[in-house]
Amino acid sequence: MILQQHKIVFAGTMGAGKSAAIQTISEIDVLSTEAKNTDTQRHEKLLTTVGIDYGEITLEDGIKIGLYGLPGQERFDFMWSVICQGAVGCIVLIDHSNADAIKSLEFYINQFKQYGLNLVIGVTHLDEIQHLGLNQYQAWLDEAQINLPLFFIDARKKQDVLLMIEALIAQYEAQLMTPTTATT
Amino acid sequence: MTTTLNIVILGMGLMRLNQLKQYLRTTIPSDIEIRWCNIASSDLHLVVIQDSFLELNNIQKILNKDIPILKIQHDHTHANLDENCFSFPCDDLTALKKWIERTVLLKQVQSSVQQINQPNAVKYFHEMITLDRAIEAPKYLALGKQAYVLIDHKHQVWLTQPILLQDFDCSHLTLHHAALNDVIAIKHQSVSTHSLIQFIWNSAYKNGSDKVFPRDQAYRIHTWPQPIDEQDYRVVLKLAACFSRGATPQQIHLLTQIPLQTIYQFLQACEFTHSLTKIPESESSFNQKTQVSDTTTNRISHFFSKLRRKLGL
Repeated sequence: MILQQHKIVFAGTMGAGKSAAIQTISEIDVLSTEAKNTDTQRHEKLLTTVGIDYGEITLEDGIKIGLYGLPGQERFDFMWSVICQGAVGCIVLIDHSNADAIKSLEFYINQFKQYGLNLVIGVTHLDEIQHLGLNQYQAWLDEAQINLPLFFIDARKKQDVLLMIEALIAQYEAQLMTPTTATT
Repeated sequence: MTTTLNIVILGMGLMRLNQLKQYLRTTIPSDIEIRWCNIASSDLHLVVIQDSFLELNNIQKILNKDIPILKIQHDHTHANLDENCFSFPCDDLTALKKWIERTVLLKQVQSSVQQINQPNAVKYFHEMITLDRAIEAPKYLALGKQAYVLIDHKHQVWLTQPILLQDFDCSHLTLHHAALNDVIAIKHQSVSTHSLIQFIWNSAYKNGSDKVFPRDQAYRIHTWPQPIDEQDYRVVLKLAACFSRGATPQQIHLLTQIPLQTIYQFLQACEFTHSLTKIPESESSFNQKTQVSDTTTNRISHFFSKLRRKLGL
């Protein structure tokens, strides 16, 4: 596995759109380890990521930024800390059509908070279900007193993925300007 | 909106006439009834006419300019639908379906709603938020210059055609009560779903600010806005990142060089969506000078500049 110094991590439930989001901005063909999904109770997706999706952006001076999509299943969480080390931040994607969307949000926020990463939440699959309100996510964040960017997005749209990356950068830059959390 | 569309087809042989009727029945939502009319009907919603017939003087006199016209040409070599001209026969009706949605159904929605006498739609949105979570709250249609959205208060969402999202001019809105038929007609189209609060935030932000906030008063936001316009991403998210930590307008102006007027515009939109709280100045995260070395800051800023350039941010 290629571990770049500069990384952006994509995490979230199975079928939430991690692979699609990486594909929208990667300059190389995304390397995926996909296999037949045997966990059909969670999601009806035929193929799912069992390893790590890897995409890449190369800056003008040759510096490469690795785009890592973490496997959706919790049984692979032993890999997460290794990948997340030194990352610019993590984009957590939550599938709105999943009945346990709030539980997933809680799980991923708690997991990734411990790595000290900047986080952005993207809620996907908005069109598939319309009887659940969108305000449940912000209400949960408010109740848990967590102040994070929460966006309603389509992971296949580059514009939406760029929105989340800009939010990660903005958090990082604001962090640099505040003495309490700045790191040297 | 009417649930019946009055359509006339002119200049076709019987076989093509039947095939065209079949095309239209397939592309128009099944709960909308189609009444096949003649050209003398007084309330036509669509005229379908063979291209060569359109130039005839008699036809020109009859046609009302307000009625959408779909011209038909028999040509396999052209695209299915070019402007208002449909090439016949056709295997893929997607383009025709979209044309019907945009030209016929949207026109019906716009002409049938009862407008609320409201000079400033943004003020209305404010009331909607204040009254929110009322289960029986009515749905609204918000009409912009070239587009509309359906506001569903109960589910805190707004629906629009994806293609129109960028074109939506939030500063020229009027609001209307949506009738059940409007809701059905819109939901039949290829709509995308968005957060209502974010729609209202964007409307308020685009409308500008007439309020001056005290420069040394600290504020914190507890909900990040989601800018619709890509051009606003950088400034809006930078302000959101700063104010989510607690800050005064003056501090952020000095640190980021973002004009105070833009900061006020941001704060007013946040106030409008009830996501802004006053906090004591001592709770601002930007009270002391940062301890990060200039070298580190420059290195990271340089890195992010390159990344933004690469991604077109």
